[in-house]
Amino acid sequence: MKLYTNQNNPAALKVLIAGNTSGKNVTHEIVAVSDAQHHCPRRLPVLLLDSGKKIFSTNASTRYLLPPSQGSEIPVDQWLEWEACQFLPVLAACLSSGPKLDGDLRNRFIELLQTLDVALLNKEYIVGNSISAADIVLFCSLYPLVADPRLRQYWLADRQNIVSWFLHLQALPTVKTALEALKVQPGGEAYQALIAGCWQPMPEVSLLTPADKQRPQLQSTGSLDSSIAPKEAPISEAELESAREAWVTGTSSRPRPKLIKKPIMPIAGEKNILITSALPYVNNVPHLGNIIGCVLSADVFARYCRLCNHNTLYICGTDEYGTATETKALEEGLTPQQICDKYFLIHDAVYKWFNISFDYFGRTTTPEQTRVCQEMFLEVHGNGFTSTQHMDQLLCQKCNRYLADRFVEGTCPLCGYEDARGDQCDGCGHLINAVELLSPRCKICRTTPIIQKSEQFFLDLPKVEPLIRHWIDKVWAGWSNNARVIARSWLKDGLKPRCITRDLKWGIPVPLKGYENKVFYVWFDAPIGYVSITAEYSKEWKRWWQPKSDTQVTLYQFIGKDNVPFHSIMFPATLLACNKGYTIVSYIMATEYLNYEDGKFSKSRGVGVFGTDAQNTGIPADIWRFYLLYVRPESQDSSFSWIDLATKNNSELLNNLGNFINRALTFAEKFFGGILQEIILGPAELALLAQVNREVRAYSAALERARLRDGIRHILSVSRHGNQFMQAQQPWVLMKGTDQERQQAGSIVSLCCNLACTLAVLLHPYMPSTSEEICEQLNAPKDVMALSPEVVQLLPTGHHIGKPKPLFAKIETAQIDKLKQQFSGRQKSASPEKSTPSTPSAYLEAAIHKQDVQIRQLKATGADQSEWLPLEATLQELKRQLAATQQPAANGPRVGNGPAAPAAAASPGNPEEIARLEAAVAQQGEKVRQLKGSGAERSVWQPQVAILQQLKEQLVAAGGSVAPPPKPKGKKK
Amino acid sequence: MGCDEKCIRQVSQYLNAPVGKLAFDVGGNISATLSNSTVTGFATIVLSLAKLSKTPQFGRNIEDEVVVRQWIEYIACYGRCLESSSSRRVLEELNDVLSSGAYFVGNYQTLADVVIYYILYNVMLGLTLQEKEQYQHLSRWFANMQQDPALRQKNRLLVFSRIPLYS
Repeated sequence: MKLYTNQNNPAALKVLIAGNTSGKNVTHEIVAVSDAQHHCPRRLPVLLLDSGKKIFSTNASTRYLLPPSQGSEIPVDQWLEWEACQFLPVLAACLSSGPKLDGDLRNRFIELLQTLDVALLNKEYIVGNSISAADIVLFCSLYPLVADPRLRQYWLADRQNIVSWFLHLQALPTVKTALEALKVQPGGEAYQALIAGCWQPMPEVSLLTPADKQRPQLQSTGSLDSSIAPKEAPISEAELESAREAWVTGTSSRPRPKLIKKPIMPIAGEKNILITSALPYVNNVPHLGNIIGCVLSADVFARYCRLCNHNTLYICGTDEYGTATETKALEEGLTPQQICDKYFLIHDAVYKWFNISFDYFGRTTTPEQTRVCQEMFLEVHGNGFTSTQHMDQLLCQKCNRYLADRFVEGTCPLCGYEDARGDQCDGCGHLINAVELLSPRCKICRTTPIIQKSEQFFLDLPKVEPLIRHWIDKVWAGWSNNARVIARSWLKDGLKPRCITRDLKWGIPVPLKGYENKVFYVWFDAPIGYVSITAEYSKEWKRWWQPKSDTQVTLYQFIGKDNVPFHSIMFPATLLACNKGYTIVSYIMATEYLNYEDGKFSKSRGVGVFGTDAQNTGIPADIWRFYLLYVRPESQDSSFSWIDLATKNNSELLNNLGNFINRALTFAEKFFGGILQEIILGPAELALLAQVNREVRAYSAALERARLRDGIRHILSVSRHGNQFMQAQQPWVLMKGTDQERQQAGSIVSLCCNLACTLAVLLHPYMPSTSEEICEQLNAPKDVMALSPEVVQLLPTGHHIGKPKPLFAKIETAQIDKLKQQFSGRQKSASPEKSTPSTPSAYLEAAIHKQDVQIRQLKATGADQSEWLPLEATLQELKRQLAATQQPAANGPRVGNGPAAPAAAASPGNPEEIARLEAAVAQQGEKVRQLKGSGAERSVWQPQVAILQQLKEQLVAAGGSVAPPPKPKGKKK
Repeated sequence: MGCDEKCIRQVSQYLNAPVGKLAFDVGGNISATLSNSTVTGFATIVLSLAKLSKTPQFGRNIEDEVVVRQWIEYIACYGRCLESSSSRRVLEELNDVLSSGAYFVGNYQTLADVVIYYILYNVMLGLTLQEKEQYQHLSRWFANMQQDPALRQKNRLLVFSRIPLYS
């Protein structure tokens, strides 16, 4: 058999690898694309069989050389078809198109990569346990991409499954030989060679619903960097005419904001939009990624819907039940309810600062939640969609409670690490099952729990599955890509029953006899929070959640991608199983993750910016909103970067948007005393209006589909067009000319002021305060805040504008460097426990107080002496230590306020002092290790750690250097 | 996507291999339930149907089967171009191939001919006599294929002119 191929064609690799793998001899020859011998049809590579037959489909050749094993024909054929018909056309178009990559095409390719990545999860080969034709064809198509480090970084940074599968195949000897024989070059040229050898069909880029297809397809100027100029189609006559028509006649009929009656309720025959944002978990301060992931995205969408005069209700709240709250409560020495109360206020304050326009921000620890949740459970139960099953659980007899995974510690069965947590081992990182821990112990009292069977309720998902499939088929088309892919992968393997109860105390009790000691698992009750929070908002909540048949309510849910299974499968399953006509989600809008600079946000290491920090940076909320939306992780993970934040602020807001508006208003004030002149529509004006209309339509189309990143780019394009118009017309030059020219200048400036007003409307969902500020400077009437499909005259001739002021301030490099430094890690302000004592003596005082309270409580309950005596001993020890820390500072004014013993630092470089401190550090370090090793409680060793740190600081101040400490088991980094 | 569904039903009837419910999954791919397992993708469904049939028409030897598979993949991949501006390119390619043979594979009718007949029907229906004449070999093949009533099913007999009128 002989293979003819053109140079550098990755498709030829398929045939050679298949030949090598199956041990069949295939020789090859490089020929020119123009070689007419291989035309008919004109395709390369082509395999010449011994019988003289020619095969131009490399996938068919590969399958012929390496037939699928018995039973794997269908999966192999499916992947061969998928590769040839879907994957390769998109891949080749993407990689051979150079820098001007179409946004939809790019998104489609990302979606396909995601599909492949999900399919390769935990797999060495895509079908079965050995290499098949399917592996070979996918490998070869991807080869030039993955082998090029730059392309690989760009497309596959978060596709670990694909990369590890690829590297495994690449190392096989049969593959290596073929790669050496053909020498296909990494990079985009290989795909050009592939297309030169065999043309590829135009890929179907987007999976639009028929309704979407009817809508005019607007080119997206958004999905890419603005540095890549979009290809502008010339403005047509019809567009000019429609721009004039709208401008001249649209003013009287333009939409005006409608009066909103509270509480907001859906109305039959109108568009009723119910919007929810994922309920943030109460035990932490939200970071920027959490904020853009759901609350801020949903806010922009809600504001847009209100701008369109839809009846819009935006609901959110904190999710408060569950083990994590209990753990946090234990950590901070509060009750779970106190934790919730404390953090609810923090969340509420953060969102208020970010100007999030919730119609109601509630919480899940309310009587309503208990009522609705129990009612729904009883409906599901009554309709026969639950089952029960016995599960092994750890019971601590001393504490008299079942232990959630996080409340158990023990030795990891896999690596032998002694302090493994019940859900995951910090030593080896494996996920483990709490009952598998060797020598488990209760995290609270350290006794060994026993394993006991406990009966739990399950939601019978296999039974609900047909209902879900029927429902999901009708709605998935409008979801974000990642939501579709994740939901599909869940449905693919068939659903399994999911446990919905737990033997815990902090939660909603199960309302059935014999199950009084159980509560609902947090994933079951949390989404019901959407319903109960609406019920808190208004008694008539059922009009939103169980609307009458004549009223249509469309539910949009904004979530992070980790929440997709709960919103696409579990919560709809609960609602469908209730069979009470509940509103089920129509649009799931899931974001990917936002990274911080080049890493992840980390609460424990203090890396990144948290909600409470943003307000302390001096950067206004609107700028934060703008930048977060600009980098919204819409189709893949994105990064927050300080330098980028400054650049976008200075280039887009200050120099583009702010500059345009400020110039227009300043000219109006300076030349015409702030009074708008008659606007005469010449060809330049009409062209400008037509261009802006395009952007406005594209803006609406993007926001309808919640493509918020695109929307912001269309706004910036409007002001860019405005700037170009002003620059070309030069009204300041015309002002020096004839009367007619001055009149013309008046027209230009007044048109620009009107555009500024349109910009204020478009900007409202993204930057509400800035929008308001522009309206104020324009002295615009209140009724302009409604979105017209085309630009109309909002400010009439003779209108008197207000006082123009610069809208944005420059962010200086020095300022950014400072902030970058401040948030690079271990900063204290990331944590809300700002009051946490930071000096050793303060630590000790706090610990003594806590211990004291504990002992008194124990004594009060009449506990046996043997129980409180050990605690008493610890108390005495703590008191002794406090006295010791206070000694060195005894000659200072007063102990406890201020870093202890700075006196030692007074003589830098003193070798005796350094030696003394070094010895002290070593001694203290040993003490800490012993304490931790003995399994003492945190409250006992924490003060000692603080002393150690203090000593180290003194040592450094004295001119010594701190040797890296021998890690005490790396529990806390 | 709609024409895929119709075509699969026609192939199923012709091969006398029943196809169950056809559905479009969440990614827009067509899938069928065949002997209790889900099969996804136009080409894979057609090939699986043929496997179930008593007259699979896979070709008379293993090499011909490879060519049959090649054409089924071709039509799954390029078939959607028939509704776009690149339809001309596909028709020209098919015409070229048929200039040197009576059928797509060897010198007898196979599954490839059957599937391509169904996929092309709508396109041929829309061509003028002049256009049909440009694709002379393809038209000859099509006119021949449609003579079999079992294959044609409810499709109309299309008109082809044997005498070149325009050249």
